[in-house]
Amino acid sequence: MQKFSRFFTLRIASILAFGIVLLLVSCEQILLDAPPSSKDNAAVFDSMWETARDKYTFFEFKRIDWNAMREKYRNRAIQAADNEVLFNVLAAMLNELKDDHTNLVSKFNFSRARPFFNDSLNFDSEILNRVYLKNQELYTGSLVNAIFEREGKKFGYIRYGSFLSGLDSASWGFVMNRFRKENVAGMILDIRNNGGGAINNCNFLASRLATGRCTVLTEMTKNGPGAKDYNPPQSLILSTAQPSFSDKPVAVLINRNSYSAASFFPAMLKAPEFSHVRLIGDHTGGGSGLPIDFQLPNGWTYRFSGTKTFIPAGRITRAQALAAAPSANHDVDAEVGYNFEGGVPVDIRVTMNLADRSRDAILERAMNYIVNGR
Amino acid sequence: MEKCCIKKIVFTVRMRRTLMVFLCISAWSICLQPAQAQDSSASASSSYFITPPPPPVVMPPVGNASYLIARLGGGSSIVQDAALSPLRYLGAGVLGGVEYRAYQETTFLSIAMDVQASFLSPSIGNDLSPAQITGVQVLPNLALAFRVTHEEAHALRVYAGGTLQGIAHIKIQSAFGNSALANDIYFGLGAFGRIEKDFSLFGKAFRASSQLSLPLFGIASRPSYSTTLRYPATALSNPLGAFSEVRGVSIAAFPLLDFRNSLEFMLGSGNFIALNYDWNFYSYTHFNKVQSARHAVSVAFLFKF
Repeated sequence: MQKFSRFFTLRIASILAFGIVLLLVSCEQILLDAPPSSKDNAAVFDSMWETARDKYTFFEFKRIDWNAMREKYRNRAIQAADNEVLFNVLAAMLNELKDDHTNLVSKFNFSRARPFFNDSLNFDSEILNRVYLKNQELYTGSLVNAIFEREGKKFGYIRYGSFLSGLDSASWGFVMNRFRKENVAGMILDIRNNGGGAINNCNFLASRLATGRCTVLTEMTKNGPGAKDYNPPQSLILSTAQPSFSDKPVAVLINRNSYSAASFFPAMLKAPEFSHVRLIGDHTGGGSGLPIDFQLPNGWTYRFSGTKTFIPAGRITRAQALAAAPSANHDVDAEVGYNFEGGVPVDIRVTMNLADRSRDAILERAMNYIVNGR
Repeated sequence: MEKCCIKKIVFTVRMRRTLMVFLCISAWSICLQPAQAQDSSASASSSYFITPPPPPVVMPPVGNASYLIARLGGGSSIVQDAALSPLRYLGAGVLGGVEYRAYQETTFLSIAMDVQASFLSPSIGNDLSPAQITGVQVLPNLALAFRVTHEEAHALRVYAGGTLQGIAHIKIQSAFGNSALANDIYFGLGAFGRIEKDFSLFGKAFRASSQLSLPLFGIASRPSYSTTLRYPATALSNPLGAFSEVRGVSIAAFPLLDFRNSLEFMLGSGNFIALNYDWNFYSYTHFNKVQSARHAVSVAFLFKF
């Protein structure tokens, strides 16, 4: 009887265990949340609007009322008759952020904000190539470099067109060695129309221009959906690297199309350890938030700024801040520093007259700075 | 593209059917009578004029035995990770793993490491060119358990104990960007149960086993709320800030179930070949909610040493 009872118990236990296994496996579909409908325009719109509400970092700085945007665009999105119309509505809402780190990507289009589309370019590659480079430039890795001569003085020139292009010690070392051999009076680093790329390349360049270890930027990241939910500010610290170019004047050429990483780099140069460096041209285009990517329920991807980065407090005056970003709310995070989302203020402002095809006024001003130190 | 998606779904459905059949066999075998040694004299007297059937192979007692186990197989995964997308992703993948397993008279020890790589597409199909995801799961596991039942023939053994278990699930989205990579990393302590049953079928010795791990508390790491890859930790004033999204979690915040089932067939010299079915599910609910389920079927070789 006892043996029968044990056998019976074991059999029941086994069947029960098997039943639990089956139950849990079949429950998988119940445990998983149902994804939003890909066909429902309202679900697609709400997904984007809510994600931006929770994670976008510049509403207060740019004085944007995101709730008002929902009122403005939601019905238009719901009523969109086809994907192209829906795309245009969503892209228009993203562009209200006036942030070039916002894009909506579908199979048939790629939206972009281009907040400085109508500003003067302050750069013309045809003038640069015809008047200055004259097909004599060297292509050393991603560094296009040349020596310019003016009134018995030599100037080392580097054109770095994209921070997406990797930098390596060998290429940098070759160019520095060339400049040293030619005994240049100073260096011109041209990052006009550089649309950005990898922040590591900013670190690479800045660490080779710095006179010492320095705190270059301060960063804040969101840690929750609330407007004030941010981690404590983090400092980005750079050490020097060799071969450096810190004993002679350096002119960094920028314009409004110097964006994202091409704003991070000039922002780093506001540290006291770069006193030999001047930013010449126009304010940069900004882009102080690292872009983060998401996907909509219908499969389109989009992105916007998900962090905010500052030039540490005390390095930019209020007048300079307003010159670069007149409409921004500079009181937000003022104790942390200057948020360069609206652009890094230029040190020496020069506007090119593109009708004059004989000279690049910004480049000329850079040579003037190297010679005169101002 | 659509055909590819349909093929994946058909594959997933077929695989699940196979798994159900496999589970049925496992459960049936658990309910079978244990393999018994045959009385050879009785057998001989009752079959004087005919060739006696070969005696069934008898599973040797577990006793003190150690095995080195290697397994290889395939499986499917389902992932919903709010850090990457609101969409549900599913797809197939490959699995490999190694394990050291040791039996003592009353204890069971297993040190295992499995890796499953999956290639996932969104459930909405590919017409709108959504991003794809490649997921890699690394599953280290140490389990120590003690036998709690002691059936006379030792044919059925039930173990209960604890487990030190981890999951590292890395997901890479094909969309280029700072947040195209998400991770779930968990490491913690939990409860562990295992049931084993020896039986004979068609005159062959088999062993069926089923085990469940249920982590109770540990630490979990997810992408930051900002979902960005930040600067190198060495360049930050507070390097630990890069790990700010590491949290202590209990089963309530990180429910994780891990089932492993095995049907082992004894080869010569005490080695086994095994057919395994694993299933696990976990969910992290703090923010950037992630849910993941994994099925895997594998063939394993158990080398006795």
